[in-house]
Amino acid sequence: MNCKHCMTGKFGRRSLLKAMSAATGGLLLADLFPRTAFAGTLDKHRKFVFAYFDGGWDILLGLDPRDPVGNNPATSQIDPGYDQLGYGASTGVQSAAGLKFGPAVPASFLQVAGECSIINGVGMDTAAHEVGRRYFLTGQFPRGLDAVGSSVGAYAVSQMGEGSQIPFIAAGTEAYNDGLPAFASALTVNTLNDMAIALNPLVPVDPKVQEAMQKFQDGGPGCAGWALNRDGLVAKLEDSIARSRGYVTAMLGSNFDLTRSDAEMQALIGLYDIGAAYGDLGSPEVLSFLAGQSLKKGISQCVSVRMANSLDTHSNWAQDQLPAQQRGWKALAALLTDLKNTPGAMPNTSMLDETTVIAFSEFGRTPLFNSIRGRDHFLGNSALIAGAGVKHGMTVGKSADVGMMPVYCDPLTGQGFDAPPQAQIDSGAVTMLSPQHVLATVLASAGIDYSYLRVDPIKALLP
Amino acid sequence: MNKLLFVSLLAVCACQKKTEPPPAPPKVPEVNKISVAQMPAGHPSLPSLTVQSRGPRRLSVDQLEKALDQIGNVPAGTVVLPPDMAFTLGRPDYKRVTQEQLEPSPLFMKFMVDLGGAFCTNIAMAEAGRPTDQKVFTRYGTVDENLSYMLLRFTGIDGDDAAPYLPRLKSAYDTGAQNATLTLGGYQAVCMSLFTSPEFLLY
Repeated sequence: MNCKHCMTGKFGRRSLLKAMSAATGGLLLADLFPRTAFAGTLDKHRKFVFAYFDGGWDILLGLDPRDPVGNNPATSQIDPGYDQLGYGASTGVQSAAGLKFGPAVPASFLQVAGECSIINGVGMDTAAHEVGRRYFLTGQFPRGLDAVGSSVGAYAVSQMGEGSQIPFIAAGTEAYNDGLPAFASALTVNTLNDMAIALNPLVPVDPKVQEAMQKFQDGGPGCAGWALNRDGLVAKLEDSIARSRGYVTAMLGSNFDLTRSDAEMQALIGLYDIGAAYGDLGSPEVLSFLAGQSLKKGISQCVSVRMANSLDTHSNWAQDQLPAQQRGWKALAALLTDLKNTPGAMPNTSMLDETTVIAFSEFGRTPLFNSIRGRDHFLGNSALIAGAGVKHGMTVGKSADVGMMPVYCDPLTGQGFDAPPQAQIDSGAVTMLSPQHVLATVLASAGIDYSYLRVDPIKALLP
Repeated sequence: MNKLLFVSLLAVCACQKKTEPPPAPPKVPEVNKISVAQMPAGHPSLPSLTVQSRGPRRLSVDQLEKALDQIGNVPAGTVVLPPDMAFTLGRPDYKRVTQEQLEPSPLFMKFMVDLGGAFCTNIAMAEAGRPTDQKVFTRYGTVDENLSYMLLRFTGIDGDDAAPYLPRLKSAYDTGAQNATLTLGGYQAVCMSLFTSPEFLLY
């Protein structure tokens, strides 16, 4: 019944000649491009967290602070604005484990700062939310607003192989799979409630009715269905049916049941401060909990999670940016602490030793205020990398002393240069950091081939 | 240079093939064509606006609700998904999510199975009390006629195009009907099969 003839194609002399032409041409053209050397041992047990701060974070309050003492905004074109912050903010720059943080980073995060490194001076080349977000998720600059390629999480999972029930979960974030195996497609959930829906049967269905439906589904679509399979949409739907059945039969739902009264769940509720979510099951606290459980229980190998939201503070910066960012860092701190407190597969290791965590936002915010005391979108950005496979306590890259635009960085040492010699620029010894560099570093940390990103990782961060 | 010559020769060979008549395309319904909306009386036609094809899409939450009203033979606006469920299925809340998510994700499909279970059970329960011309499962005298009608109602597939589907639907019907405790178990099975089929969920 399957409309097989809709999909089959002939492979004849013409096709062979075309393929040979393309292959030979490819070999010739390959010489025109410099090759990215890749040599690494794939860590098949590595796990990943992509922690997304939604809306464009103010890096002055987080990863790239400036000391307000002696600063003159008129000449530096940077106004930290720390004096405008009210409740809960420290007076300015904080230090922990050799790293500097802005006032939005709470004490709970400073306690795990020793597991982290900071990447400053990341150029985004965009000030559009969708573009910046998708750029950092895929490592490839979007085409218009449309994402290009797959999420790096999906790519990483595809390289490591299917080692868990739901290899890739996207909690509150977008996820893309362009041509990768179906198991690398994310289970996309917006809230913890979605997770419960995905993992638990909600409506009892008569076994015979269920059997009949599954038999019909297993037969695949008919011709009219296959005619809709442009862009692989029908194939995705078919795969989704099969996967959703697997979720239910694996009975994973109790891992995410916040109503459980046992000591383990109650401790997690305290650690992640679930009470601060006030019942919002899509809040940073709850989604961070979801990420932690997914990794710790072996349900997932990679989680992309929205760790903060409401950061797009074009106005009311002093009132809104600080608490929103603080909440994100606090949720991330809980996740890092949870992973650190959970034993890893090897003796004397923790789950954090098996997990690489990257925190990012779509872009930064302008270092000067606009006319309504807010900060607008800014091309410069920062990222935080933590956990397995990377050095800790390092700050690599730099934003300019005047205006905070990203400046050149030597990826071997991580040192930033406001005005490097032209010869260094020409030779490629220094480069402008981009999301590709950050993501290549994440992949390289696990021995995953990053060459498709067409840049080298920041080797200063790799052991 | 030799390499370039080799590539050129290959390319020339590839281009010199005699033209053969292309194989007859498989007969499939032209589901990707969209006609221009009807213009007001007296308005000149605008054929340049005709969209010949577009990428297939998944039903949005709004479309799903309206489709279920239509399939279930209930007044428009009867089927309304709770906001949480609609958010799960991709409807934006304009707070955290501003674009409708239209991927046929595992979560969406899992929920469609659940929703299908509830929807088809409700139709089965209401069937006995409905006049004949409002029945969904048993409007006609024979099972085959009813299956054709359900296929048409869910997917719009009719006539010759429906022929390949009917044996499979009959098989689903027979399996579902094996449960003697459900009066309309066979039809419920067909309903759920169609509910989760790409022919219904994509357009």
